[in-house]
Amino acid sequence: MNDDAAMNVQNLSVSLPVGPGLLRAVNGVSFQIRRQKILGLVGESGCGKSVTCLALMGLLKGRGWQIEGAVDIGGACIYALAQEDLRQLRGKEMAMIMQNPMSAFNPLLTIGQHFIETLQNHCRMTAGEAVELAIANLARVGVPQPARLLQRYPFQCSGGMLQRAMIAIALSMRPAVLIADEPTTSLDVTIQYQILSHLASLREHYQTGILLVSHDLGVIAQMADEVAVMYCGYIVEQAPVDELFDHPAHPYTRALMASRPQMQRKRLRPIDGQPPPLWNLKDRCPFEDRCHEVADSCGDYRMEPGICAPGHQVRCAKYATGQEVILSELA
Amino acid sequence: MGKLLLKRVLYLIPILLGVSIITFILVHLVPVDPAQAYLTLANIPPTDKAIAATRTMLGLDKPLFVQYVTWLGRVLRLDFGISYATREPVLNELLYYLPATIKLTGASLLWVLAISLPLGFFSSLYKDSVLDHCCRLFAFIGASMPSFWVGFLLIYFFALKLNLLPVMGMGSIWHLILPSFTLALSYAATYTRLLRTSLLENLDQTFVLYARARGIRERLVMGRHVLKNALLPVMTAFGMSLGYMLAGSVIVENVFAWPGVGRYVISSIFNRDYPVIQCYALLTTLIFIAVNLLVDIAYGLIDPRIRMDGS
Amino acid sequence: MFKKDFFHQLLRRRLTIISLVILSVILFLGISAPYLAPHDPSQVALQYRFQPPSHQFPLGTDNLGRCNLSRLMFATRVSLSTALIVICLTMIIGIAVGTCSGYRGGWVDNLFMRLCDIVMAFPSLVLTLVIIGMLGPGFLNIIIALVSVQWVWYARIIRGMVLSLKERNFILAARASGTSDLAIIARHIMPGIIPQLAVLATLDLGGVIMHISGLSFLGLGIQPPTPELGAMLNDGKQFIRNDQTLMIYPGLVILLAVVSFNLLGDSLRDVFEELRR
Repeated sequence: MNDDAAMNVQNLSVSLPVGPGLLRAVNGVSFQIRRQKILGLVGESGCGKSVTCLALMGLLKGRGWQIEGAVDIGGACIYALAQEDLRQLRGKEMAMIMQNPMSAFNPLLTIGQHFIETLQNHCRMTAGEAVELAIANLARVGVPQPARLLQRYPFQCSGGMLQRAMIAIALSMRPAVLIADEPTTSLDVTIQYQILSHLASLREHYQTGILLVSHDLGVIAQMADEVAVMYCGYIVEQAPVDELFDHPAHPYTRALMASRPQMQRKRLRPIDGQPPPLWNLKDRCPFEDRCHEVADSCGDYRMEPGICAPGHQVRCAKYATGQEVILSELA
Repeated sequence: MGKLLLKRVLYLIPILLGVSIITFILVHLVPVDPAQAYLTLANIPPTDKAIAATRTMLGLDKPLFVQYVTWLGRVLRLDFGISYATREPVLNELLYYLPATIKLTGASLLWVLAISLPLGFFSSLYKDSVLDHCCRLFAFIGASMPSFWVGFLLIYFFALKLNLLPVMGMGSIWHLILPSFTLALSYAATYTRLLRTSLLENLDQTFVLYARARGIRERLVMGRHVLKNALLPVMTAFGMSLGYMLAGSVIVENVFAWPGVGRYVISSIFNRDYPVIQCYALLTTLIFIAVNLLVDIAYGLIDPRIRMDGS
Repeated sequence: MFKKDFFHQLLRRRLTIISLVILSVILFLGISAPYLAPHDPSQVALQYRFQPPSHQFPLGTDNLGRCNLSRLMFATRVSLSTALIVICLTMIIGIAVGTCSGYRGGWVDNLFMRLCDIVMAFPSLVLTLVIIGMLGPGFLNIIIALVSVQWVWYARIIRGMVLSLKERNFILAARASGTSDLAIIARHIMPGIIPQLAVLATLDLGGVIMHISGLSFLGLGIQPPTPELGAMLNDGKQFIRNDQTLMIYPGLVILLAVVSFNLLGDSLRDVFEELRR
């Protein structure tokens, strides 16, 4: 484990009993979020990205979800903590930005009240001090008139403004980790760019490590330092950003890249078929049915992680331990 | 807020006018001649001469429009006419009985709150638990029981069988328990159900998840984020119910011989004492409208989306 | 296809089955009252007062020696049919006004909706009571009073449904292709609102039954000697000390009828919602 790791996730599995079956949303996920770095988590919708985020925040606890594995922050696993201690970590050590800013704010409270409520929950401070801090933080995410925004109600604000406010609230406690679940999906492209660039520059100022979740490879390529590709609750491939985009190893990653609009190419290549349903996933590779590179070895493969280059992890039969032969093929 | 208030009050003016027209016209639905009813109640033989004289006295010989305007003029001066039966001003009569009805309705309101708030809250919090199923059963059965039947069952068990509470009439606080509970039961059931649905809807909202993600204390999450939002639709319905309760007390008052407006108006109906019935319609409707206006104002105070509408 | 799905979904629910069974029993008892009732419901036989249940009188007799079972059967018949008449009339007026108002818009809409606003400003039970007060108690008057208060709610709801349907593409297409207004209403709008109306009417039937029996209980509705559930309860209340069954039976029938109509309405709504998805 690296010393600068802000959050360390070990073998995290999340499942929900549904009727007689078991919905396996996250399967044996491991990664680190490093301080001042952005880890990009990419995958189709419904692949378990949002559940992973909630699990990292400890927000799935006690709702029938079964959670295994460890999420360490500051040396302690959040699942070993008492509910109350976990609550104090949330918002302070680990903050979250929600997908849809328009519905994330309580319609009956002003933006300022959201700020004050969050700050006062974690530190002793007067409402006046909280407002001062809020104005400073809002200015940093590019809000033109922070004091006025604080007095507004959510229904009076645009999605971009609300997302900025959400980022400002999240960062005002200088958290070790910021989990951003599709932070710009519901926004205009121009605003998306502004917000992302603020996020990128602020991680250094606040010393925060960011988990950036997105289904958009472009956003990930531009923002992330390291990328994890998720499919059916598995992280099928994980590597530093340049390595991943230069040498995508997993057939799913390659298919994902091929299906992305690019300047040079005229036709997109969609991925055939649909992801299998998440309930009663067997231990076999969930991409087998859609994969163009199926081999005989796939039948015996049980999603053990393999390494195809230093720091480049893949879960595919081709790279399973003892099959380094293919490495040369790639090079 | 001032703007909203002004808008609501201005909107009420045509409504009130319409209400007054309907109330006025109602008397003219009467199949018998009001003059004759007046004479019968006054024990005067209804000769042609007496009827003609009474018609003039009651203003029934004038054109309908003129009658309406004079009637409205008197109503605005709080003169609702004289009861055929007692020869007293109708308003005085009704105001004499009103406190008892308000007492009954107020006590029922307390029952409704005391029952539906905790039941709705806990049944949504522990959804699909045994408690939840019990609450839902209560909500379902309670809303389907006719209040007059509930009243008799309660009288039978608590007053006659167990001898715990007085059977009928008004007096001590003990007299209030059974009638107010009877009146409250169906509303308590309805509100348990309404609150449960509303809370469940709000528990699933993104802003609740976001509040938890910000590490807000659970008590604050439930109170400020869940409950406050969930109570908004309940509050509107509550305003409506308050009016219905005033009216629903008619049955309960008759079951328990509670000397309120409802009992009085029923006896007036049998007496064909039309001014009383008319005044009753106008009085309860005014209370109903006033309560709903208050609820609207309260809603505006809580919900900024309503308050700032138009600005 | 739709029909098959509908019944399949509906009958899959246990509570629906229970409510349907209860309703069929109640309906059967009501319909068959003139043929199956063991006695004439209004035949007074003072020598048989307050009889306990026996072969001759399965549910005993009342204070005038009348057969309780027969009276209950006839009372159910009267209450249910009155409620059905009220709902049907309300629906007819509501559909006429609502569709006209919603489809036409303009001053017709304005006029009707202001009228609705005014009628709705009265607490509905008060208005019902006052209308009966003016017209005098009686079977016909109770129907008039209930219908004239209830139709506004239906008109409002139907208008809303028609308004939202009117803007849908298939209706716009039908209009653009020159289908007449009446044909559009009959062929496109009605099928769209009828499922929701069925739910509404079923849920409301319970309420109407309660209203009718409540008014009869007050002596304002159906007049003796015609047996009616609320009126029977009213008769029974004087004998609460000696014979409680007199008030328990009619109340139980009302409760069962209202509960099953509510259950049925709820499951109808659930099924329609599921099928729409």
